[in-house]
Amino acid sequence: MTDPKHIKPKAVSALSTGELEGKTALVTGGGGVIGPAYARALAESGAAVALVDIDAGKAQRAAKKLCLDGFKVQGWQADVGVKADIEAAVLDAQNVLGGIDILINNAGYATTMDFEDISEAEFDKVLNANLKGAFFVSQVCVPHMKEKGWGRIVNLTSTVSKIGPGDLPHYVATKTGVIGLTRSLARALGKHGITVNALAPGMVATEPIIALYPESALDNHAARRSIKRWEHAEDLVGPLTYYCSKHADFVTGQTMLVDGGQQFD
Amino acid sequence: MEGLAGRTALVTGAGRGLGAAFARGLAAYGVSVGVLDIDGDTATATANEISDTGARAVGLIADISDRSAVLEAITGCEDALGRIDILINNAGFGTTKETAGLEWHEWPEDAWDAVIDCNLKGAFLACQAVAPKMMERGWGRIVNVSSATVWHPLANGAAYIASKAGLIGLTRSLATGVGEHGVTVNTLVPGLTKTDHMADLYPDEQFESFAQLRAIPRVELPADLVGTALFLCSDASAFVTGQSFVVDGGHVFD
Repeated sequence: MTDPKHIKPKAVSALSTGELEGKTALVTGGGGVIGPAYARALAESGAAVALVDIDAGKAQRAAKKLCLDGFKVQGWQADVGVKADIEAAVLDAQNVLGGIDILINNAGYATTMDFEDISEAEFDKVLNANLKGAFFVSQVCVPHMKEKGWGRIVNLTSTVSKIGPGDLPHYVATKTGVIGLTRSLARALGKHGITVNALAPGMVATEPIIALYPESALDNHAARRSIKRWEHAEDLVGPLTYYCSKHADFVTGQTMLVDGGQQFD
Repeated sequence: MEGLAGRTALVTGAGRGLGAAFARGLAAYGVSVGVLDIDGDTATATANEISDTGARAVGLIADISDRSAVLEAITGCEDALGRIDILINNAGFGTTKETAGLEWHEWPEDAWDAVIDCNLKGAFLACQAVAPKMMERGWGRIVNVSSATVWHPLANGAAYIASKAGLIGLTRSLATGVGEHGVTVNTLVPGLTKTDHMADLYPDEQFESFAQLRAIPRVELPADLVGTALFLCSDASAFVTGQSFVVDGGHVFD
């Protein structure tokens, strides 16, 4: 029997059938574990989806899998930390799928390291992937949203911004920066019909996390939650789709903690 | 949205305003609704209006700060609709004509008690009455309605704001107690919303000046809050608990 704390939930979308028909979404970090789960939910409601990943093969494989299920999804390679890369990928995606109406800034990178051992190069790598990427991908996608008078941007932050774990200070700094970026862009773009919100997952049981931490770390998080189990990509699909749905039309600049009730602010 | 159709909700303060909007919104997604209000006539009228659309609804009268009245109304709701899966603690008020215009240090003790008893104790009593059965069944949703005034307070709203901040604490505490049993508890935080009641209390300029403070610069209406309430009552938010959801067009950030 499966340990109750390892039970995987079902992904439940907050979007209605056909709600995103005629719209295009772009998901960065689209070749990873959680990105394709977001893409699937957006595509299920009718969106065409561009998956952008630093690893071309991962982007193609994730896109192919979703295409085989009948969705309109295509992969592009780009390092979100390089503005020219982003511009090329977004331009191409717009030509193929249409202007980006929904942007999910999901790409991220983390290493666990002692504060004093973090080199300038390592700091820049984390900063570029997590914060600079969200900034410039948004900058490239916003003109089309403004023109349409409608847009949705969801930035992935993390509950580490609340907890402040000591083993990844560069990551914590960038993920906290994402919350500030979210608030500022919300105020800048609200009058154009664009909402900008942040999603803060707890420690999600994905392969990269399992590679970084022992299973006991995941168990410890589960024990501290109101809902005492591991967190999975599926848990984030409802909140992500809520931000993209009509239900959140008047919600902007907010950060939602999705961690089974571990952190409260 | 998955998880709503076929459920039963109890909404307090639902005779008019925000509560009535929540009740109508849930009913439109296939939820049977107990419409509870201290004013029985408005509860009955809203319940009848919902029933006319083909949904199931029952009007209930209770002063939410009176434990025996709350228990009686909940029994009435269960008798009429079968059970309660969803509770929206929306009943609340800030001032009466006796306290309107008073400085906080001039407020009589009984006026403070009345606000706290309705807004905070009322929510606690309703939770206490319905949550154990939700836990037994392994599914439940509780939404407590707070206020963005917790983030932009006014001195003469001391009792109201204390009660609304208290609801955030109640939400967090209950969330940790019921999470293992499939029940989530979250707080909905509206900005200044133009309900009929609020439009009677404040001039249009008040709503307009708040609109200008928002990222989305317009007057907030009850309909703006319904989507988030539906999300928090659905299966899409199953792993979200103890949290506060500000819905104010981007005025205050949490």
